[in-house]
Amino acid sequence: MPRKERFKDYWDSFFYAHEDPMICSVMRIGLAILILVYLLTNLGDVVLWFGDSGVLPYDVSRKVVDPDTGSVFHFLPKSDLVAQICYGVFIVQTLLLLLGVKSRFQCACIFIWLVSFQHRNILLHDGEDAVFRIIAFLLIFLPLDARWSLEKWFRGLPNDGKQSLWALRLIQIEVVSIFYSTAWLKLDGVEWLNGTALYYISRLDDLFGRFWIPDFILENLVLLKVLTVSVLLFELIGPILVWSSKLRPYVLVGFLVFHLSTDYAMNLFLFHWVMILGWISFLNHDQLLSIGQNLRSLSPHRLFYRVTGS
Amino acid sequence: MQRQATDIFIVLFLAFLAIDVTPRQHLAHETLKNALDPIYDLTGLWQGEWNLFAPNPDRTNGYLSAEFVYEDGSTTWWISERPADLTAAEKFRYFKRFEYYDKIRLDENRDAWSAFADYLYRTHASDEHGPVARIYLFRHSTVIPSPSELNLPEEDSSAWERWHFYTLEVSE
Repeated sequence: MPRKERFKDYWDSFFYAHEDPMICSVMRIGLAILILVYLLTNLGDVVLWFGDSGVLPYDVSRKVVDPDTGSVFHFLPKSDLVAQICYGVFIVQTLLLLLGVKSRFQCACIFIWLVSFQHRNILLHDGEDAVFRIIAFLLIFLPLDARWSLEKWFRGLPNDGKQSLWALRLIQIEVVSIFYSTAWLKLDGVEWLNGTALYYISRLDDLFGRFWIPDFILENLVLLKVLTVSVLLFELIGPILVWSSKLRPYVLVGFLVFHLSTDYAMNLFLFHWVMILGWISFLNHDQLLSIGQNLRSLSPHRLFYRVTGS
Repeated sequence: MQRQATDIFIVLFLAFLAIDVTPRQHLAHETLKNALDPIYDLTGLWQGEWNLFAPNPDRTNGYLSAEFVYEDGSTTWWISERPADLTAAEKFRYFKRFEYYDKIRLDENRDAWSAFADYLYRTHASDEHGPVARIYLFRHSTVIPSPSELNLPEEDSSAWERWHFYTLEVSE
């Protein structure tokens, strides 16, 4: 087969293979829950961050953000009340996304809200906000209401059949690119190469020390060096191995352990959770069903039946 | 037709992603990134290099403070939340405040200093001391000492340094 044909076959099978869209609904629910946690956690600071009587009035905010950036706040009256109303609409639309009501429309609006609020006060935002934005954008192109959709349930519509989920592939590539980018940069870092990076990170008082960690880990330089090199190696190798269908389940468990343990030790708000959501995009229909069955077997009433045998 | 449009979208997305997240290596890459910057900004799809603790982790801890000087000569202070004094739940709740304090202190954000000082004046000035004459903003930082190979250094809380970075004249 000519090389061009082979490439086209590979391209089509990678991006356009028909798959069960259940994963898209899992992503929809996961993203909605995380954004709700984000919005509700900062609910008390809406005026502080986005109001005109807050720390950064609109006119000043334009001086510290790239002038090319867009935001719906360009077109709205500059007041505290408008910021509060927009935030409220953002919450309502996220709730509708969670419930599966016109989800692709909600997702498009949520993407616009994320961009607008982030550009309204750029000093608040970091990498996790970029992941939220990109995932929300790509979800617009997926059948988000394929399962567990309130709208479908009301209308009595059947679940969606198999279809091509090319935007899911882009989410997978996005998540891998994040690791590839950070690992590349770390290879230029003396402290990652000499193994002292985690020593310094563990002394950052705003990020580290979220929950208790035994002193023998933090005070042992040899152990910290081993952990530093392990993190770097994992960030380099994991994103490559995840493309192997045989190794994928083990690599994904590795990423889950990596993100949960880092989230235990460090306060990075929702960064690790939105990254876990990104890795979930690698799961196929059978793996999702298997995880679902295992989770159901852990439910209290199942455990009760197992223990009592009745 | 729709398939071709999707193909073009995928290729463009991947190209833009690769250019954006790949660390700057040479002048051509830098020029291309700068040329595409308005498109990233306009679409809201910018992300840049993922420099989370890279290439090296930050080596300083810091916080902000503001000194309110009243016309009668008295002073009061505002001090930003210190992570070390907070519970895990409070650290989660105030995460965005730490982000803000971390960025507002930077010289590149000097245009926002006046609004920040003005906010502190409106919300934290004490009524008991009469009119405020001026507000000084300070950043405090301490450098994390390097580890020795054999034993790790003790935490030294006395090594904090303070820099004045902005004055808001209120009474003028």
